Amino acid sequence: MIARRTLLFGTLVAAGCASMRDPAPGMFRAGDGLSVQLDRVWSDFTPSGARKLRLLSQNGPALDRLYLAGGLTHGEGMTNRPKDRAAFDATAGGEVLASFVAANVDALGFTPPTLSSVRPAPFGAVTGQRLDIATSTGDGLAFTGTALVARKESRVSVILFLAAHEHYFAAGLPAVEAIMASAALA
Amino acid sequence: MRRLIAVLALACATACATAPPPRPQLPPGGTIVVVEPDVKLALLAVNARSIDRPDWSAAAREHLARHARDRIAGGGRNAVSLLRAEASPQARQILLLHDAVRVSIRTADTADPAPPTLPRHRAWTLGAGARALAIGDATHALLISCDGDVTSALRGVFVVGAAAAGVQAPTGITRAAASLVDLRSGDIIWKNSIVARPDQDVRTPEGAHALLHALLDGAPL
Repeated sequence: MIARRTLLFGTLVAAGCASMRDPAPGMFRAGDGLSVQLDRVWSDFTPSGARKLRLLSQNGPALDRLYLAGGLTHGEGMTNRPKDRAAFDATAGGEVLASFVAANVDALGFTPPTLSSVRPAPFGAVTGQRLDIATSTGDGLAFTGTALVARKESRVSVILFLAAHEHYFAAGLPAVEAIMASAALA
Repeated sequence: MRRLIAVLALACATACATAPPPRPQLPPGGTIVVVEPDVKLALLAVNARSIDRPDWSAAAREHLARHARDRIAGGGRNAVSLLRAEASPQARQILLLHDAVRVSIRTADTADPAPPTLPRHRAWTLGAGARALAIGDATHALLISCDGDVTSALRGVFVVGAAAAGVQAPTGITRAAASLVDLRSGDIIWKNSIVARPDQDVRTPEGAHALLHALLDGAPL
């Protein structure tokens, strides 16, 4: 049956994004201390009320989403009221970063994800973690993702790309790889 | 003179930016997969509650599928049916992807201002995986969806009464959309969406025929 929840989500997101200024090519800052280089125009679907997070998309959030979260502090997450592991625990070690991302993918409305290939990766001048993600929407549309997450001092930053497994993840990945390679943390 | 040239250039650029894409052509003959229409109808009760009516949905699904096959056959092509319950897991993913693409199409069609990467006439695709919808030597697939609320008689009375009192109360509407997909590339080569008129009640064969006639107006079938 038709993806009613997807339709509703898309409508809500579209309604919430109207006032945001869409990012142009060049340096783009997100949250507290995260900056990346964009090589093309993106559409901004950031939910109203989001403070340290931007949600960008090329084809609409029902198909692909690039989350940029910069400088989240203890207790903050990628949603407005994060719970449990979706809230950053600044007292924990670096081993919780992957589970922090997984919990936030879940909190963003996807099914609990499967993580793979968790490996060290540069995030600006610090070493973070890169991981691959398999999840799906509530309707069952398979999504593939990749994330770059790093902690600097007592703050965590995340670049998370999620897209429909069919066509859209592979189509969007090269631009996202370039964005991740350009990331800098202040 | 320079100003005139600039105005003409601007007018041309504006026209080029808003012009719909050229109408695609399908080769004569050939086979088109008619995916079982995705229909969900409900009754809009007097208290504005929406009550699912699977019986109406099933009837409309059957009427729309039959009229779509007839339309394709009338154009000298073969129509083969793909039932959603019998679709392969890969084909089901493509159908879900099409639903998601429709969400983005709706955003592109209705958002004001339109997001910069979602202009109204941009191209859309389901990717190479769309060939999972193919049956035999089919080259294209037609996907139809229809959903809406049918206003109950009591609700109708309430709406009229409310209007007399100067209060606007919503009535049910039915929307329908159609996409024609090239199964080799996955590209959506033609699409349309409409809001049903009162004479396009998809629960009846005649109404479904009228709606499909309007929905597929301009389709290269």
